[in-house]
Amino acid sequence: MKPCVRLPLLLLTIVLGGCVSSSVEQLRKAPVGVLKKGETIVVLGRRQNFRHQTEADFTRCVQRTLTRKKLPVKAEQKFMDEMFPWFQPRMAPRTAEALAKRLQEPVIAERLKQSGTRYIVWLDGITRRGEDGGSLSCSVGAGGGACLGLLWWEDDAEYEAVIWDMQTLKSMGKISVEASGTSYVPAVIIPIPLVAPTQSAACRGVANQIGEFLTKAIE
Amino acid sequence: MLKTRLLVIASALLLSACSQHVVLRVDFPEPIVSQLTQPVIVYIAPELRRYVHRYEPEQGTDWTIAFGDSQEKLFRSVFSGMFEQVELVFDAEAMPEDTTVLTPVMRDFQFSTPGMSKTDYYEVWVKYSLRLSRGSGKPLLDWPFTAYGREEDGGGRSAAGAMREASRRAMRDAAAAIVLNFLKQPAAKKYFAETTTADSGRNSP
Repeated sequence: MKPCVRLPLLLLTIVLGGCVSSSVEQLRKAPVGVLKKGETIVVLGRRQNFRHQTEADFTRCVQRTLTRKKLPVKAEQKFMDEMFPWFQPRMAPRTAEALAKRLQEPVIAERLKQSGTRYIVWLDGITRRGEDGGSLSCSVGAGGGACLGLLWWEDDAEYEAVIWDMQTLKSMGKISVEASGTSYVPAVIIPIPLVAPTQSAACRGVANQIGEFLTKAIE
Repeated sequence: MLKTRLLVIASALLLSACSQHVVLRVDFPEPIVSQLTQPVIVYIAPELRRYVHRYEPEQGTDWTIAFGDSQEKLFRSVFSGMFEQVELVFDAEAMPEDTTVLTPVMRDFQFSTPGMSKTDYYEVWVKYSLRLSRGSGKPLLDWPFTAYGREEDGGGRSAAGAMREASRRAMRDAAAAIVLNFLKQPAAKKYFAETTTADSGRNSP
């Protein structure tokens, strides 16, 4: 590709590819949680809702972002196995009160203590496809193929994270994030998808706020 | 020779595109529950051990889902968590008469793919029943329950891999259902309350 074509395309990608707006709200009920040596955080995606479950890649994204912030994150599967079957979708407590009640069972409380899990972050929400429009047509002939047109669509992400302290068995607070982004596929000969990273923006918003709730103790 | 090889590879690719074979090799953690002291026998019937689900539509992809030894592993781990003494028996003839016998039965297996349901998920439903009896006698309880699991399409996972994960989740859900609900069934509740009293009576000095 010639540089005179490459540069406008690159600029177009930068300008249009980042069309995401997001807002984050935080409701804090407790001071910053300090993780002592051996204590871990686990990030769980809500799976009780039959049709709208939190996407596994969103949960993984939050886990990865917290790990990059040097917070000790335990893998979701490891925690689910350690506490089996009490955090399976069928049985997972939905409120801090329900969790406190569940932990009245001595065997469960003992296992939780042994596992070193100090904070549980529950993620709930989903990214939905919003409005879309435009048209794009492609044709192929003997001399080659070409496309012409423009497609666009909106993605709306809405997530909520609730942080539970397993020592006090209380909720530390809640984070809500809303993000919406518009993606485009302009096509002049070649279609160029300019996908708005709506879910990633929501993930960063949630993870950054969780990072403000929790910190590692200085050793 | 090269032509034959290419033909074989092409045929294999074509066949794999219209048939999916899933073999479940799954381990299950033991549930965390207060254990009951009664010894129990878990009878794993040959049809449960060899259960294979085949779906061969006139059009579309054929599916074969083989459970292998995963059923045995599931019930071994669930009941080992719930009871202090658990023995698995695979031969109905070898069943001791004066013992508590739990017999899991797989009644139905259903699945759907994103193509079938027009959603982003592979979904699995397994209908089991759990029988409680004394030796090989008439069941005191035959409790049916359904387990569900699903896995999102995509993420670089193959169709067979996603179906395997959905089935694994359904089996873990089955374990959760047993832990949560089996001993709440009136007949099971009564039976284990009575046998606990009888056992403690026998063991007391």
